[in-house]
Amino acid sequence: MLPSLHCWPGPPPFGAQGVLSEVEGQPGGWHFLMRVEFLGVSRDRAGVDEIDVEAETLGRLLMTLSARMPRLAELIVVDRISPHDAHAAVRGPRLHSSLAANLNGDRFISDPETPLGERDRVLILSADVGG
Amino acid sequence: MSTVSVPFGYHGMSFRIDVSTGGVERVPLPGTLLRRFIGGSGLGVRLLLDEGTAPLDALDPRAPLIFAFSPLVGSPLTTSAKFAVVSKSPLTDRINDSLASSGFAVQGKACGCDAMVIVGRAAEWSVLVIDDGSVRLEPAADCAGLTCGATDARLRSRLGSDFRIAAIGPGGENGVRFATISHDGRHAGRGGSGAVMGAKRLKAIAVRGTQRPEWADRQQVIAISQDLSHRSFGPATAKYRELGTATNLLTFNRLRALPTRNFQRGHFEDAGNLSVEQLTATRSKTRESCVTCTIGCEHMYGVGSGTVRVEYESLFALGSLCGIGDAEVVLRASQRCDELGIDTISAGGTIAFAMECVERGWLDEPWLAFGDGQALLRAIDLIGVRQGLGNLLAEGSRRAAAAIGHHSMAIAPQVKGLEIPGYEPRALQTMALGFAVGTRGADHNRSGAYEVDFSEKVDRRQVTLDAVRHAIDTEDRAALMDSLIICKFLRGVFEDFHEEAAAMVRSVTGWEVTARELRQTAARIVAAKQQFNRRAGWRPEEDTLPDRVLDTPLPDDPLATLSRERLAALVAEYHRQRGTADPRDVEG
Repeated sequence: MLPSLHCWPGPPPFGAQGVLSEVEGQPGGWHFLMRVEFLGVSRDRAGVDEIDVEAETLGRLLMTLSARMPRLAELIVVDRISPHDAHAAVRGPRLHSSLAANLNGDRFISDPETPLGERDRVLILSADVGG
Repeated sequence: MSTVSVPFGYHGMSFRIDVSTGGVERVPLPGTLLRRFIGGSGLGVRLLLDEGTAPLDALDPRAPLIFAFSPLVGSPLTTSAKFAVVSKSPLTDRINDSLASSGFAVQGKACGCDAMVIVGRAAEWSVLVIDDGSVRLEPAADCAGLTCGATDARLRSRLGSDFRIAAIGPGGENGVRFATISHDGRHAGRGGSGAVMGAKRLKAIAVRGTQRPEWADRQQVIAISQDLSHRSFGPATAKYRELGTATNLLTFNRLRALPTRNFQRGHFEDAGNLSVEQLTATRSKTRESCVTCTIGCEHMYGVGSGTVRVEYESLFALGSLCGIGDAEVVLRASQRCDELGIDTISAGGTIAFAMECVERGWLDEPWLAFGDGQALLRAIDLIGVRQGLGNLLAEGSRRAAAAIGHHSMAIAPQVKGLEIPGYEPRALQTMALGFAVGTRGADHNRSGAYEVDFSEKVDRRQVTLDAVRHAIDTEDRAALMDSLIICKFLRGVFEDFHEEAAAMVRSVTGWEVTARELRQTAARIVAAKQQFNRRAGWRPEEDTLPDRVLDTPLPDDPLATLSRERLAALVAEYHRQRGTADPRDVEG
């Protein structure tokens, strides 16, 4: 069962840290909920400005978002190493090239194995910022 | 008499028009020259170099104003209905190439030329009418003082609705150094080409034509066009199609990269008021497309009794940069700039600069304060007619700083005289390099280096010399796109842009062009721009940024610091990697 998503009530201060929350379906077990912020097209597709989600890596985070947000899922890509075999190993997931993930407003990340920690927040934004 | 073979996709001809006399010279364009510079910016810059007028003042009647088309214009390739306006800039005294999309490109090329080189000065306000290759000047004194849109309407009513018009507004008439040339509501916006046109006493150019060059492989042109159009509906262009460039505002604000109050901050507390979400929730909205474009990036919002096209650059320049978070004021300001025919970025940048000068006591205009929307609107109107303070601000921030004195040059938000667009240089340092070395000054359309900052290739707040090759790549790609001409909003659609661009050029021209050749062409076009600048007096110390952004951390983000030494090292490495072009390659 995938962990639940929690919408935050309002915009957090810049650099705010994640919070500990109880994960739905796991009473008594406190797990770290990190924050995801959506900007631009990803916000439009997600339908929310930001959410809490439990994820240890970027890949896990994207899998969770893909499962919970169908319109955003169109922009989350899972490459099968053999495209004709549904059971073949997968590479990714990754964001479509039109989107980018940024960690804490600092660096951009794409490796699905990128670890996410308790102080992290991930921004999903448009990779193309041409104006 | 030798017969000159004209390549497919071209007329092999430029019209050189002297509006002092009304004389027209039809100048053959050799296929070798066209292949080496393609069209648009590349062809325009090369023709400008050939004129040998780089040392002249940009507003001298002898200084040419060039409209350059491309081999793709008139084809069904999406976004290809574009043209370049090339001249010396009255704002920077360096090369200026502004691009725009409209039916003017299609009708202009259909007049039977690949470029129009305009020199001289008409005896009175005139409209240059080019009707299927026949050229004449008509009086247009009745259009003097009209807005861009009103001029367009009047001339099409007079000449025929099938004419397409490029017009200047009061800004161009009054020599505002950042005046635009407007057509179909769009603008060749930056660098002051409207002032150059005004200096020739041309209120407008009207074009209509029927001459369409053949393509080498019609079936292939159509196949490529259909494929590209299909892909242009996909996620790579979703941002432009669904939200428009205005959506950049909150992204930049979140990353502390939104220039605010004349580049004093990178975060604007009222940015939410100007966001797409807020505009959409509170205003009527429609979407429009340029001719032949399948993306449809123009998001028109209701303001007053009309509408205005809202772009990120206008929101930033007339909003956060001036400390104004009232959307109604910002949209009205943008609309007013369009009517007057002045560049929103330079207008906002120059006004924000003046606001800070007032705040510091360097300028005695107490009514002009950050956050005062009525003051912004008043300043724009004064600029358009060059009255009062507007006469100074119409000169742009660099010249205004020179007149104001004190230490104001340090806070003038410009490079080579061109006001910096909405990318905070300290927070986006590959872009900072792109600004510093840009041939037309600080510009986000001639360098796409912000893409590098929005990637894993660099640490955007502490870039190293590794960033230089990426900055060069984006500059070269922009030069190629501006010469083909293809809209940059398509760039995410291409798997391999150079390979696909080569296929486009092959199908239209029949030349066996390769991706490698196009890469060389792009570098040659950048070199030609640099060559023009050298002839116009460029000095190496021009390739820098305002003192404000050097050595001083961005207040909202102390990690965003760009030292003078590091920028100098980046610029030096840029020139080392560029090398010195052989003048015979760019001019011979």
